[in-house]
Amino acid sequence: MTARVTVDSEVCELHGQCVEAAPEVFSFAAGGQLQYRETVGDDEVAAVEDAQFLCPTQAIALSRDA
Amino acid sequence: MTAAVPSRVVVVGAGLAGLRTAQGLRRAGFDGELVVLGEEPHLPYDRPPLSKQLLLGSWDADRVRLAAPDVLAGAEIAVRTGERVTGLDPAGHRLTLASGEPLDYGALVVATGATPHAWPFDARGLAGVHDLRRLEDALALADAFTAGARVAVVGAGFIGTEVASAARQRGLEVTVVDASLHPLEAALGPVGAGALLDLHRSRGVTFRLGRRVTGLTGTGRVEALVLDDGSRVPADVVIVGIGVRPATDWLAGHGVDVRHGLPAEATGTTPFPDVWAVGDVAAWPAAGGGPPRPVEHWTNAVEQAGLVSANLLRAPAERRHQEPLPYVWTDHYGIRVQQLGELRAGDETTLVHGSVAALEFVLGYCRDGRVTGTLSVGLPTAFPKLKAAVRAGRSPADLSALL
Repeated sequence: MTARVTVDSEVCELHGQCVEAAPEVFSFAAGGQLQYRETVGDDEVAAVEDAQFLCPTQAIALSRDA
Repeated sequence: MTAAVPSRVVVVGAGLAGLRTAQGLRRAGFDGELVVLGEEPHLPYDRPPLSKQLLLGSWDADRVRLAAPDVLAGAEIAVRTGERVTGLDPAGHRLTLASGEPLDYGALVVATGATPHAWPFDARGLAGVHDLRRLEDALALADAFTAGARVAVVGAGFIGTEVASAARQRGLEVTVVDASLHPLEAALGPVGAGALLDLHRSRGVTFRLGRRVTGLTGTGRVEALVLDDGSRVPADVVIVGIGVRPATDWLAGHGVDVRHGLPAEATGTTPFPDVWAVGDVAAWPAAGGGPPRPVEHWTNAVEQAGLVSANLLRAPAERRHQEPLPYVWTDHYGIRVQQLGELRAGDETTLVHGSVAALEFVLGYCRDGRVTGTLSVGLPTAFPKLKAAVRAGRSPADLSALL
């Protein structure tokens, strides 16, 4: 089972809370843009949920594949 | 040892801290009854945008919602809006609602937040004077920001200066009054406060510092502030941003001093049995010592909610606590200001990166050669690196090398 992560780049304000909460999934590129992995494993879902809670702009969506 | 899991958890307060605690309980597997009581008529919403995007007009009211109704229903979180709690019976594990209805709890989470300080002047009978704490306040202010309106802000803290920023960006004339000659300095230090005030001045904000507001003039509507030197600040719209106090009145009378917040341990427990405290109402142990007090920051509420929702389901011996590292951000004219940790008396501040004049810099708050906090301006993507470095107790030189 995997889950799909999307970040709304129109909404994201680069607070970086997700980079801290789930560093395996989210990071800042050298130029400062947010980069992230769209497919995460079950064992990473909890960290992405933490990132969702900590995102001040609620830019992160997480959907589980059937 | 196993925890006695309550069959009903009641959360008083439907803001960020209350909602995230409820959601955290479900994430942690709590399958009992979960009731969130909110005094306001709205489902949980987010407050930082009230002084930012809502005033700028870049967001509408729907965008501040923290959870859609179907998300709440799906998690079986019963949010009851318009419910004010008037009393607590700690021994009987019972709340009294404003309607007189009693509500029993197995565990209670206090998340009632904070209330703006009473205005230091009489505004009775005068329209145009606003607090900025609730959604209605922000919507009313956004409406009042019409072309040509003269805006007076009382209090040059984070809220007051954010309002000034939004009003200037909407082309309005803005005067900010503060009783201190050096506002923001206690929070940000002289360099950070100076940079921020200079930014506002460069964008056309007028400051009247070291001045108190003694009264208002106007008939039906406010027309001016009267200051303690007798001068007047003409104003069509007045915003009062002089701070908040924890909303604990309903908890008084049980032998616990709640004037400075509901005292809590670093696990979130309070002196009342099976009662927990999170967010702006909760006086947890302060970072780096000092008397417990509420930390009125967004991330603090989320972090405490995460911890309490897990601890509430644990046996006492298994409860965890976390070292708080306060984080607050504030936006001015599109420039992000972020503070990690807190500036304490006796800290040295060192420029570790960038240029203050260019409004792109990081200051380190240093104690015993280690950086215990940072103020960064205009460098949002540095934040995760800074947080890791502060947590690890790095030196100012380490931080400079990192950036």
